[in-house]
Order: sequence, then C-alpha cells, then structure tokens
Amino acid sequence: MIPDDAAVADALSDSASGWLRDALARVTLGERGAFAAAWNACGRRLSHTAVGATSWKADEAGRALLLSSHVGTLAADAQAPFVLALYEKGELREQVALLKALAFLPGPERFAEVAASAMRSNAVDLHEAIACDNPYPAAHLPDATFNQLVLKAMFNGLSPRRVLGIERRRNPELARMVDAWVRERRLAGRAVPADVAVVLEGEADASL
Amino acid sequence: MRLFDPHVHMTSRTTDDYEAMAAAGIAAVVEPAFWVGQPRTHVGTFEDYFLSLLGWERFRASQFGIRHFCTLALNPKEANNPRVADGVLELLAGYLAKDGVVAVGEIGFDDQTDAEERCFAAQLRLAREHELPVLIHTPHRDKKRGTERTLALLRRLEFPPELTLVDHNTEETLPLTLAAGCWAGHSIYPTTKLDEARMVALVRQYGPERIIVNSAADWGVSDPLKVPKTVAAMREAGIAADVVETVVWKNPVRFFAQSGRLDVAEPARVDQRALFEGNSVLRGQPARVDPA
Repeated sequence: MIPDDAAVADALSDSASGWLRDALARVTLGERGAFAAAWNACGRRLSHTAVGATSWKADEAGRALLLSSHVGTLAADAQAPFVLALYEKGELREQVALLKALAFLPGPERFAEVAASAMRSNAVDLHEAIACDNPYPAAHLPDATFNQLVLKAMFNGLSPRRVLGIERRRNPELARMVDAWVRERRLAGRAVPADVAVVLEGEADASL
Repeated sequence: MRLFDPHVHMTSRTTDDYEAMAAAGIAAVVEPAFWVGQPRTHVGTFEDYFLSLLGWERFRASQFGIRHFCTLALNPKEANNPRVADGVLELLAGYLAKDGVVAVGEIGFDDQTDAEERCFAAQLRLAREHELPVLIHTPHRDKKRGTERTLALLRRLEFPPELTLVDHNTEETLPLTLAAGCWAGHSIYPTTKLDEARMVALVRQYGPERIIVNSAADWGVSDPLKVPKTVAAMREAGIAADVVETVVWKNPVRFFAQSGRLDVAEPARVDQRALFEGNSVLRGQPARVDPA
C-alpha cells in the first residue's frame, strides 16, 4: 500500500507536511495546474527519509498520494494515457515514485506497458523500482514479461527474493531461463548467486 | 596492420577515444544504430540520430584518420514501443539507400517478444530490398535460446547466411552461428560478454574463418581499445599474424564490402582545417594536416 497521509507526515518536518497537505487538497479539488506544480516540487519540498518501516521514502510516498488523487479527478479513458505520458516525460525520481504507486492506482491492469518499459530500462533505479518490493509485476504482468523481469533483476545483482509473489509466479520457463543463465555464468568463470534456488521450481524455500 | 572495429557506438565517446583508437591502429569503424540508454518518445528523434550517424559522426571520425560507416535500424528494445516502431520502420526505407550505410542493424531479439520478432522480420525484408547485409544483436538474457530463435527466423525467411553477422557470441552460441553459415561477431567487454583470454581460446578452437571481434563500446563502462588489446593477447598467445589479420581486418572488410558501399582501400587522410556545416572538432588547437 501507499503509506497514508499521517504516516508520511510523521516522516516530514512540520513545514513539509503542511506543504503536502495543502498540495493534496488542491489536487483533490481538481485545481488547474496544481498536480504538475506539486509533482515537480516534491523532490525539493519533501525529504528522502524512509516512511516508518516501509520501502517508501517520503518524496516517493508524497508523489504517490498526489498521483492517486489526481488520477481520480480524470475521466476514466484519460487515466491510462496520462500515466504513460507522465512516466515517459518524467525525471528519474518521479519515475521511481510512479512505478511504486502503479499497483495502487485505479484499474492497475491498464499500466502494464509502463511496467514493461521500466523492466527494460538500463537505469538500475527504475528496474529496481518495478522489480523489487513491488506487487505490480506478479499481479499484472504476463509470464514472458515477468520472467524477463526476474532474470534482469538477477543480472543487476538484485535478489529474486525481493520480487514479490515470486513463489506464486515461478514457472518452468523461468526455471529454464535461470538454469541456462547459471550455466552461462559458470562457463564464463563467474560467481553464481546463492539465491537462484528461489526461482528454480521444486526448490521451495521455507524462508519465503 | 590496420585494425577494424566493426561495432562501436562512437556518438557516445570522446575525441580522446578517437585519438587513442587511431594511435592503436584502428583505421575503420562501423557504428550501428542502437538504443540511446532511455526510450525515445518521438519518431523524429530517430531521424536526427540517423542523420548524425551519416553526417557529424562520420566527419568527426575523419578528423582523426578513421573511416566511419554505419548500420541503421530500429533496435530490438524499442521495437517494443508501439508509438515509435512503425514510424521508424517507415523512415528506414529512405535512409537505408544512403552512402555510408553498410548494413541494416542492430536488429534482433532483446526480451524475445512478438513485437521484436515482427520488427526483426520486417527489417530482414528491408535488407533484401536494399541488397544490404544485416548486423544482428543477440540478447544478454536467455542468450542461447535467443540465438536459436534468431537462426530459425533467418532460415524461415531464407535470408542468406553469408549476408548475416550474428553478434555478441559466447562459447555457447558460437558453434550454432557458425553451423548456420553466418559470420560470428564477438564483443570484448571489461567484465560482461567476453574477455580477451576467452576470445583467444575461441580463435584457437575454431580458427579465423567468419570470426569477427569488436569492442561494442558505448555510453556504459566499456573500452574502445578492446580490438587492439585482443590483437595483443592473440600475438602473446602465439597466434599467427595472418590469422590475427583475418580476424581484425580482412573478415569485417569482406563482410561489410558486400554492401558495395565500403571504401577502405586508401587510409584516411587527416585535414583538421575541414568544417562540417561550419563546425570544427578543434577548440583553438593547431590543425593537423597530413601531406597529400
């Protein structure tokens, strides 16, 4: 879930939380230009402090709350194109916040293209934001995209344990791909991460 | 011995790189059109990119005595973007006819999606129409399967193997590429892909026929001197000079000469007094001018 306003406020100074409260009120009322101004300013107005024990930082959670409020004010058929354009024209921190919010927007299945694009990104922050600690991939991506996401996470040195729902979504094709990757790494004389077992079927891990 | 780097993204590199490459013996490069690190949002930015590969970059290389050729294509990653893919394929038909374009590339599979396969097949057809060879990227992830799918598609479309350079081979994919009759490229990278020692072992095992080496240097951590460094490693390992020359000069020349647009007979003559649309690579330095 996106942390609620109170949890985000706890991670912020009084002036920053006041700013966010005011911005959210304007966005919810549908005030013209309010969303774009607040969305762009979050990086400067809000800190990067962790929100409680969650995987969210304050600026990410602030952006997610703003986005979720703003999308609610748009006509249903304008929502998906809006989110796609916001992603494509966004700066890195904006894109990270958007990816973390994706699963919690209305009709999240409409955003699979955004998730797939982030999955392909060479910017490790973007790939990590969609692949790790995020319920979106397991809930909405088809096997082929999900499998590439897991394999790319391992390429980037991220643990597959951080892919939420991996135990439910692992499949024989993913096991084949990971197995081939392990063989390729051994041939090249490179180390194989211990947690590959997480994705190889039949090796259920009690710690999951 | 003149050296050829048949896969290097010079747009992402500096003039220091050009100087070092020329000093190390690199006389010709091929720059494939590729992914610029993040998705493009307009077809028009592809057009300007193609124009820079045909224009400014070729000029920049010439200022350091290096012949620059390019391959143009919609890259596999961006084949997945439905807002640009078809527009770029339409653009290509015009640009593939230009001088200096020595192949269609990089094309191929990345995530191995249906969209990638459709654009890959469409560009193989464009290559036939323009009588050009193709430069094929093989995926980083699930590489062996991606290579098998690539070779199967080439067979299905009856694309001539002698006009096909399958790139980024490893120990696992090289036997498949060679058995299909294609040329086999190898990218020597600081940590991923292949290194010099593994390349030496492959040349020892398979000999030089249809074997090609490149740096694939780009905007990431990579090294535009990997071709000369591989030459040094091959020499040190006692590989015969004619074998080395076949791999790092004669093979890429033979392959890209099939385009009818590769001119490397004469070494490039440097004249840094030259301007490109009013622009020079110099910033107040004295111009180097080689005698005619």
